[in-house]
Amino acid sequence: MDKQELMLCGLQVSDWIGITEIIVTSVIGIWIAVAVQNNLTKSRYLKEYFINEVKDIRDLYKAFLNQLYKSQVSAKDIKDWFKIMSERTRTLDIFLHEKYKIENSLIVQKHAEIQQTITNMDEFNDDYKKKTITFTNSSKNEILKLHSELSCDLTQRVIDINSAKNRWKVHKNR
Amino acid sequence: MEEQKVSIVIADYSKSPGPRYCRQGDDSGEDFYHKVLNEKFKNAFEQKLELEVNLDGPDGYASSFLDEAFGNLVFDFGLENVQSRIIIVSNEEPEWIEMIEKETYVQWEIRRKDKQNPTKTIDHEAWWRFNFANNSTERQIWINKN
Repeated sequence: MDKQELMLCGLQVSDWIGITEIIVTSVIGIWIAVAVQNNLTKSRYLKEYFINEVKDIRDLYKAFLNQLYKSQVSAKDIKDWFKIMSERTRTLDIFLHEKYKIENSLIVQKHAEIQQTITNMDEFNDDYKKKTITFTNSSKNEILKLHSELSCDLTQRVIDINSAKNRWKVHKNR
Repeated sequence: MEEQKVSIVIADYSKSPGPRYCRQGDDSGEDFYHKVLNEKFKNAFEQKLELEVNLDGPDGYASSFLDEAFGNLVFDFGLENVQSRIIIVSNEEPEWIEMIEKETYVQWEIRRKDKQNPTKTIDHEAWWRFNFANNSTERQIWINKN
């Protein structure tokens, strides 16, 4: 009688314990794998988004400075463009700081330096009323130097994002 | 107790601030200094009030505009007086505050001490300047058109 009570489907209690253990372990294993994979996917997706934003900034700068070298922009165009880019670079820096604790403001600082240098140049001010501004070769060289420094900073930022660890911080308002 | 201050919103002067000098274009830094900033600062200074200058609103700035406007202020009133009375606000582009406070103020104070007069590209009406000898403000045409 005792032996029959302990048996179900021809298996003893110890067998059922073993089976249950296998099932529970498998479920936990699958759950961990799925959860980790989801987090990795989310993390990678977010990093790719930020890296694409850095690449967009690089492309926008390249296109804008090409126009500037070819004397195709006015002083007002330059002023407007810099203000829009100030907002974009600052927003990126804020999110990178919040998400990955990347402290410095490489892009914002270099962008500000370029903005201040170009809008202080004699050609910018003397040709302010003209439809387009023609920069001298000396000024173009100065801009080129700053542009290549910005490119380095943008590359550094991609490296920073790629190697950053998530803070896993919960933002109540976001 | 609420701190007493007066304020200037640059967007009220121009939605599109211009270049450095009057001869270079409309709404220049030179023009803004002579039409707005000099008088406002003198009044705040004499009444011992803070003057808040808000940079937000316009479509963007040339660094030369801000340098000429705030630089002339330091030239006419001295660095210490300007620093103790002016508060610059810029939520949109806070980098301008750093430029003005760390570069413009310092460079124009050196210029003031070296007596290197600013360039005036048009004839301006008399404007205010602090006289360090008798500790008072005086109004006259200090520099003619160069």
